[in-house]
Amino acid sequence: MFYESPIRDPYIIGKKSYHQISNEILEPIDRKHNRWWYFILYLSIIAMSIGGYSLYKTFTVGIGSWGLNNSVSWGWDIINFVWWIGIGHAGTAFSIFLLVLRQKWRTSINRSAEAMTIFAVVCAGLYPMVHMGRIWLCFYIFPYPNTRGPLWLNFNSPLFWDVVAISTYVLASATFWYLGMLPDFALIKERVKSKVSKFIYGTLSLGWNASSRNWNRFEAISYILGGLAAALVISVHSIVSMDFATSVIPGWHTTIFPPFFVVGAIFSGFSMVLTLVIIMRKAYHLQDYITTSHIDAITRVLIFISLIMGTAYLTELFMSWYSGNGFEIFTFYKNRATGDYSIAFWLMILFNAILPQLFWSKRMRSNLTLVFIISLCVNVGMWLERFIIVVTSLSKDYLPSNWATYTPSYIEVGIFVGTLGFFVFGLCLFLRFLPVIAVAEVKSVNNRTTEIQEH
Amino acid sequence: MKNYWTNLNESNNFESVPSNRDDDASAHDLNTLEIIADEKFSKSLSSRRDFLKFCGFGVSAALLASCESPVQYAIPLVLKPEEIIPGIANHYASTYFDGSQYCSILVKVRDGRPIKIEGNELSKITKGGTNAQVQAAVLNLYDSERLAYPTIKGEKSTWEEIHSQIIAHFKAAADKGDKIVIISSPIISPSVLKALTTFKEQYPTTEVIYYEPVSFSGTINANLNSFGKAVVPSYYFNKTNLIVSFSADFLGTWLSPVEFTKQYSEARALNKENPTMTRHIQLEAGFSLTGSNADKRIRVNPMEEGSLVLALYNKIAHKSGNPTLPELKTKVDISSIADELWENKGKSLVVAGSNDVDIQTLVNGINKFLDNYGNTIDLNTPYFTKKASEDDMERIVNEMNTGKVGVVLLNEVNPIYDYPYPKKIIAALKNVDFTGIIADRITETTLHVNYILPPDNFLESWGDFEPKKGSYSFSQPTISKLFDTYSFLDCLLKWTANEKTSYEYIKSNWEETLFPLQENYKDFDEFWAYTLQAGIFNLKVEKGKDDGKKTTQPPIPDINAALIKSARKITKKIYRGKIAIEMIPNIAIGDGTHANNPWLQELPDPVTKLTWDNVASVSIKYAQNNNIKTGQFITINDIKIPALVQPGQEDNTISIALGYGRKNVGKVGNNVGTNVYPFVQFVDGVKIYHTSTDKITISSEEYVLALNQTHDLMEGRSIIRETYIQQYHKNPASGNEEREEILKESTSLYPAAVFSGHHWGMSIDLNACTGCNSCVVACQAENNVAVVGKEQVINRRLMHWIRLDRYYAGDKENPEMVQMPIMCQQCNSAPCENVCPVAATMRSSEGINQMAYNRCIGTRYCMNNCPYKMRRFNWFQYAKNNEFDFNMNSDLGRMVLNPDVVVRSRGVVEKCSFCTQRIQEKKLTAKLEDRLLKDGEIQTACSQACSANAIVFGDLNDSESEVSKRFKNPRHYHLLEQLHTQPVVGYQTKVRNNNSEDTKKEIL
Amino acid sequence: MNSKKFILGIFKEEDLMIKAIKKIREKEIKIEEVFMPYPVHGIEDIAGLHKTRLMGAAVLFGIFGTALVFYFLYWVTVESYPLIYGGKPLYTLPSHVVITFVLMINITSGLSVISFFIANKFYPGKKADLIHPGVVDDTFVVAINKPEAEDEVQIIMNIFSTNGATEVTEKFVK
Repeated sequence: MFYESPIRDPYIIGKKSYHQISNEILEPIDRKHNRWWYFILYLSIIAMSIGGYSLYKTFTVGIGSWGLNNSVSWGWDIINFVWWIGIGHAGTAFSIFLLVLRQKWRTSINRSAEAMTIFAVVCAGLYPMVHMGRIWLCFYIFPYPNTRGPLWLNFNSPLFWDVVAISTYVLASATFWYLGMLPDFALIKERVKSKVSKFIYGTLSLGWNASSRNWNRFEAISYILGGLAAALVISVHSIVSMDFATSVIPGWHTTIFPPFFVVGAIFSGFSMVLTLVIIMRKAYHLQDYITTSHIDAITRVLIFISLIMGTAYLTELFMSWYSGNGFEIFTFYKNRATGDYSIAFWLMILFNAILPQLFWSKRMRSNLTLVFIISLCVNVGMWLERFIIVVTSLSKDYLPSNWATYTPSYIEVGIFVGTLGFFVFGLCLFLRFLPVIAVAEVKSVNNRTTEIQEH
Repeated sequence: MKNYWTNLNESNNFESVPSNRDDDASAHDLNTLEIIADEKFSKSLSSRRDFLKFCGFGVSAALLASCESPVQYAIPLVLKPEEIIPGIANHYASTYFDGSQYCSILVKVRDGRPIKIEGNELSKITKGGTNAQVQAAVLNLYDSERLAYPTIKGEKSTWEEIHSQIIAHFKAAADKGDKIVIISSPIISPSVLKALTTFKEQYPTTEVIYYEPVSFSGTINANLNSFGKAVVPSYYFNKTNLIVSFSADFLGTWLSPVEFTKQYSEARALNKENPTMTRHIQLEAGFSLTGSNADKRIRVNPMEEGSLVLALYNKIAHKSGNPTLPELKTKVDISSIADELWENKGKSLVVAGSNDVDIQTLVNGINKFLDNYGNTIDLNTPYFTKKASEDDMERIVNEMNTGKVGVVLLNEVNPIYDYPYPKKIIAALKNVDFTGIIADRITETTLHVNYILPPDNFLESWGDFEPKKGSYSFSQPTISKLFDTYSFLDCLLKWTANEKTSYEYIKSNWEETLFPLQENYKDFDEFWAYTLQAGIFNLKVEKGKDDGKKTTQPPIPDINAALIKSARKITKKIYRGKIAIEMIPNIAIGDGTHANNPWLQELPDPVTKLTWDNVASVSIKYAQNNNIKTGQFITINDIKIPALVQPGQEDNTISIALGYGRKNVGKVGNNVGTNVYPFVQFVDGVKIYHTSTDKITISSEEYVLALNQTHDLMEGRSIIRETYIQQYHKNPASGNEEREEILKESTSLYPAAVFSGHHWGMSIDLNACTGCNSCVVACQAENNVAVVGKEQVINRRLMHWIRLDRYYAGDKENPEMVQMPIMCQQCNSAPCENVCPVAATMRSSEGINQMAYNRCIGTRYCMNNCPYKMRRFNWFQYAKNNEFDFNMNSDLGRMVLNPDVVVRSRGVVEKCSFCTQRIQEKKLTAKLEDRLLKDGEIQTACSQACSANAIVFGDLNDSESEVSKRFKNPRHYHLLEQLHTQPVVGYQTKVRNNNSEDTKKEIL
Repeated sequence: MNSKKFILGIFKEEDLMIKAIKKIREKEIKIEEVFMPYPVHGIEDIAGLHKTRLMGAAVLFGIFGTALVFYFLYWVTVESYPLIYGGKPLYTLPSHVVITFVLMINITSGLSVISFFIANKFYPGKKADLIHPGVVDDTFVVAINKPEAEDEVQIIMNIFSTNGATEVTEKFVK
C-alpha cells in the first residue's frame, strides 16, 4: 500500500461545502461557452474533414495512395495505431491503478483521463480498419459462423489478438467511464433547468437513487471492472507489442517488447493527461481541484517511467550486441543509431529518456509552462519511438536487395490530422456536457489530508 | 511429358477415335492432343484452319464491338473443331524470329488464344531454351498499337487497292529501268527467298538488300577476308575448356543467346560425370550479363580493344610459330590469358562482339592458330540470321538520291529510328516516287512512307526458317488473323501473280526441295505432318558436319595478308576524344523493335536493375572525378541522358543501352529513355558501336531512375554462398560450411510437418543461373502478373513473383557480381501463415504455401513478416484501370491472360504459387491415365523457361527425383536457413573457376 | 423498500450522520436505508445494511468465460475447420492463451455489468425516486421504518436531532 505522508497537501484547496463543489465543477454545463471553445471546436471539425477526405481517397484509390511499398508495408497507419493506443492507456492506468492502490488524489483527474482514453482508443481502432486493402471485407476479422466452411480465423495471428484485446478494452473502459458518471448524472438532472436536459440526464442516470445499496454495488462493480481493466491495461499493449515481438523481423523479434510497450504506453498516456489537464484547469478555473500537487504527482511518475524507458532502450542495444546476431546488431547500430533515421532515434532518446529527468528539481516541476512543453515533447518522443520500431526494421531487414526507404504520403498525414481532430472534438463535447471531475468522488476526499482509516 | 506430339506411335490409334466426340473433357478427350497430331496425317488441315477462322471471327467480333454485355465475348463454336476442348491447352510447334534472334518454340493455345510461349525441346539449336524477349513475344500479338488495315498516304485502304497500285508501280519501274529496292530485315525463310527470286525474275531491276540496327557485317567481312566465306560461323561453347570473350555478350544479346546459354550451362555444369567446368574470361568495358558470369573479368576500353586483340594475337602467333605483327603496348597484360589459351589449344574459343573487321580478322587468326576451327567453331554451318551490309545500305541511299530508284519497299525495318543518319534516309525517300513499308505499327519510318502494309504476327501466319545451314523450322498460325493483315510471303505471291496461299507455297516448296533430301519418310504428307508437329527438321547430311570433323582448312596465305592489313589498321587507328561511348543492346529491349512491350520495359536489367529507362553507365572513379551522382543528367554530344554509377565500368568508357528513346512505337514505349543510335559511326564501311568524345557536360539536374534494387552489397551475410573450383574439388561442401552448424543448432517446439503424398520442392543452381531474366517474364506470362509502370517501380512496388537479386563483391572498381533468383520459398514453417488473421494463407497438404485471394483482406502483415519479402500487394486496381494503361487495360491485351490463373483485384496480397495450376493439370492427366507422375513431368513456368537448367522442380518425397538428388548434394543450402523457416526452395552454391591469384576477395 | 412510512434523519455532515447511526444501532433499531451524495466507506457495516454479492458472482463468470473460450478455440481449430499454419500442429495452446485471457475478461465484465443493472433494477429512463432532492448533492439521509410504538419514534427522532440532524421528517414511500 501507499505510505501515509504526515503532511500532505490537501486534495482540494480551500474549505468548500459539498454544494459549492457541485456548483464549481458542474458550472461549465450550466453556462454558455466562450468563443475559445467554439474556435477549438471548429478547428477540430476542419481537421476531421481533412481526415475524412483522406479516408475517401484511401477507399477509392487504394492503399497505393499511401507511401508504403513492398518492403515497408506498414507505416503511419500502424505507428499511429500504437501511439493512440498508448495514449489510451492513461485514463485506465490512472483511475484503475490508483483506484486499486486507493490513491485518493486520482479523483480529480480520472474522469477526464478516462474520457481521453475512450476517444484515443476510438482513434486507434480506426487504423487497423482503414489500413486493410479491402476494408469492405473488414468483417472477415471476426469469428462468426459463416457459409464459407465455416472458415473461422487464424487464432495464431497477433493481429486477431489485437482485435479481441482492443474491442474488449473499448467496451470495458467505456462501461467503466459511464458507470462512474451515474451519480453525477443524477446530480446534474437535479440541477439543470430545461426539460430536455432533465430528460436526457435523467435517462443517462438510469434512475440512480443515492441509496447505500446503490453505492455498495456501485463500488463493487467499479472494483470488478477496475480489476479486470487493470489486467487489460497490461495485456492490451502487451498484445499490441506481440504484433512485432512474435514476428521474425530483426528489431521486432524481441522478448522485452511487452513490458517495454506497456510502460511506454503509460508514459505517453500520463504525459498526454498532463498536457490536457494543464489546459483544462486553466480554461475551466479548476485550479482548486486539479492542484499543483496533482501535477507534481504526475511529473514524479513521469520521472520514474522515463527512467524505465531509458533502461529499456539501453537493454535493447545491449541485447542486440550481446546476442551476437548480425542482423540484430545491424538493425540497432547500423540502421537505428546511425542509419537513415538516426535523427528520429536520437530525438526519441532525448525526449523520452533525458528531458523528463529535469523533473528531479522541484523548481522545474512547479514551472507549469516547462512541464507543459516537456509533456508535449514526451508525446512526440513516444510517436518517434513507434516510428523507429515500425519503419527502420522493415526498411532494412534480411535481404539487402529488399531495402527501401519510406516516406508518408499526404493522405496518411491527412488521416492522422483527422484522428487528432476527432480527439479534440470529443474532448470539447466532453468538457461541455459531462462532469469533467467525478463530483461524488471529489466530495469523498473533501478537506481530507490523509486516507480514511476504515480499511 | 509436354502436351505436344513427340511420340510418333500415337499416330496408329487415330482412326479409332470417333470424329463426333462429346464436348465434355472426359478421359480420352484429354488425349485430344494426339488427335490433333493425328489430324495432321489426314489429307488436309482444313478443319483446324476452319476453326481458326471461326474463333478468329468471334474474337475480332468481340474486339470490334464495344463490349458492354459479356455475351458479346462468346466465341460461337457452331461446328466444334475436334482438337479444341474448352479448358485444355494445345501446344503448337512454331518459330520465333524477330530479325535478329532465332528461337524454336511451342505456343500454348487455350480456347483459340495463344497465351504462352515455351521452348521446343526437339530443336537442335535452342534445345527448348527461351529468353525474356521470346517469352514476351506473345504479348506483341495482342499489342493494341498494331495496324489493323493497310493505308495509303495515311488513308485507310484495302489490300486489293494496295496490291493493284503496287504492282502497277513495279511494272512502271521495271519498264523505265528504274530500280526496285527492297530494304529488308534478314530473311531466313527458304520459301520467301524462293519467292523473292521469282519476284526478281519478273521485275529484273529488283535489288534486295538487308538492314539490321545491330550489324554483324564486321564478322562477315572478316571471314570473307580470312577464309573467303562471307558468313557468321557456328560456335560451340559446350566443347570448350576456356572461353575468352572480347565484349561479346553471348549470354545476353550476341548472335544467338538462347543457344549459347544452353551450351554455356552444359559446359559449366558441375556434377559427378563432369567435375571440371569451362573457364570464362571476359574483357569488356560495360558490365554485361556475360561479364557478370565470367570467372575473370578484365575491364578494357573499347578504344584499346583492337590493340589488345592484336597483342593476344601476337602471343598466340608466337607460340604457334607464326610471324608476329607490329603492335602497340597495352595497359592490360594479356600474357596469362595467352598461356591459358595455349594450354587449351583446340578446346578454347575466342569471340569478339565488336563489329570491327580488323578485330574480327585478328580473332579469326587467333582461333585458327589455336586450331579451334573444326573443334569449337564451324564455318560450314553458318548462321543465316545475320545478313546486313552497310555498304549496300549506303550505296542504295545514294542511288535513291540520284533518282534512279523507282520503288523502295521497306520490310520490317525502321532505319529512320535506328540508322545513325536518319536525315539522309528521309531526304533519300523524298526522291523515290513509290515508297512502301511493311510494318506492324506506326513507326518513325512509316511517317515518311506512303504505303503501309501491316504484316501478320508470326503467331498468325505460316512460315519456314533456316537459321543455320541445314536446320529448318516452321511457324504455323495459332490464331486466325486479328486484323486485316498480309504476310510478306503472301504479298510476294500476289505480286508475282501466284495463286497459291503462303501455306500451299511453303508446302510445295518443301516437297520440291527438302523432301527429296531425307530418307525417313516415303510419303510427303507423312513427312510434312511429322515435321510440322515437331516444328523442326534437320538435314542428315548436315548433322554429320555439326561436329565440324570435315572442316576444310582455310587457305593460309590470304588470311596472313588480311591479318597484316588489319594489324596495320589497328595500330594506325586514332580516336578524337578521351572518353569512349559504348552502345550495347540490353536483354530486355534489344535493338528497340519490341519497345512497346510492357513486360520487357518493366524487366529489370540484370546488372543495373533499371526498368523503363536507359542510362549512361559511368565508372565509380569517373563519377568521383566529375562528382556525378546516380540520376544526374549528363550531356554527351548534345544528347542528354541520366547517369548511373556502375561498379565494374571501365573508367574512361560510358556505356549506354540501345533501343530506347522511340518516338513512334506505341503508348507504352514512346519516349522511354534516350535514343543513342546517332552515336553509331561508320568506320571503313561497317557500323562501329562505340565512339569517343570529350564533349561531356554534367548538369546539376536530378532525375529519378526506376531501379528495383538500390542496395548492392550483401553486408557480409551468407545470402549467396560461393566457393572456388580448387576448394570445391577438395571439399564439395566448401563455401557451405555453416549449413552444418545451423542444422546442428536448429530445433523446434513442434514436431516437424509430414507430407504423406507429394511434397513439392525446387532447387536453383546458382552456378548455372546466368541471370537472363527469362524466368521473370515466363512467370509474368503464366501467372497474369500485372505491369505497374515506371511510377510504381520507383515506389518499389514491382509485382514480379520472381526477383533476381544482384550483389557485388570484391574490388570496388572491378567487382565480382552474383545473381540469385528468389521466389516465394514455400517455407514449411512459414512466418507469413502464422500472422494472417483471416487464414487467407495456409499450408497445403503437398507443402505449398497457399494464398486464398478472395479471403485476403490486405492487412499486409504477411508481407512484413516474410524474411524474403517475396509477397506482393495490389496497391491499386491494376486490371481495367486507365491509370495503368498496359496490356490488362484493353480487351485485346487481356486476351493474353492465362484462364487458369485468377487476375488479382485491388487490396489483396499475391505471391508465387509454384504454378499450382500446372501441378493440378498434370496430376489430373496422370490420374486419368491411371499412372504415377513422372519426375520432371510437372514444370513450373520458371523452371521451364530456364535455358541454363538452373531451376529444377519436383517431388521431394520421391527420393529418385532430380530435386531430391540436388537436395542431397553438398552444395545444397537454404536461404536464411538460420531463421528456421524451413523453405522447400533450395540453392546450390556458386563455384568460380578462378586461378588462385584471383581468389582474394573481400566484401565491398 | 415496499411502500411504508419512514422516519428520515437529514444531515449535512458525514461524520454527524455516522455518529447518529452508531447511536441508533446501540438501541438495536434497524436502519432501513442510508442515502448519501458520495460513498461513505464501511457505512453498511456501521448501519448493518445488506452487502452485495456481486464480487462472488464475478469470479464465477470468470471461470465460466475461461472454460467457454477454451472449448471454442479447441473446437474451431481441431474439429470445425482444421488448417495448418506455419507447420504447427492443429491445436497450439501457447497462441491461444492470449485470446482466452482477454475474452475471459470480456465475458466477465459484460456479465457483471448486466447483473449490476439487474440488481439495481436500473434501466434507461427509469424514474429516479429520490427520497430527498439533496441526496445527490450535499445531503445525507438516514431512513428508518416508522415503528408502531410512539415512544420508539420519539427515541429515534431524539437521536437524530441530538446528533446534528438538520431536519427530521416522516415520509410515505410507495
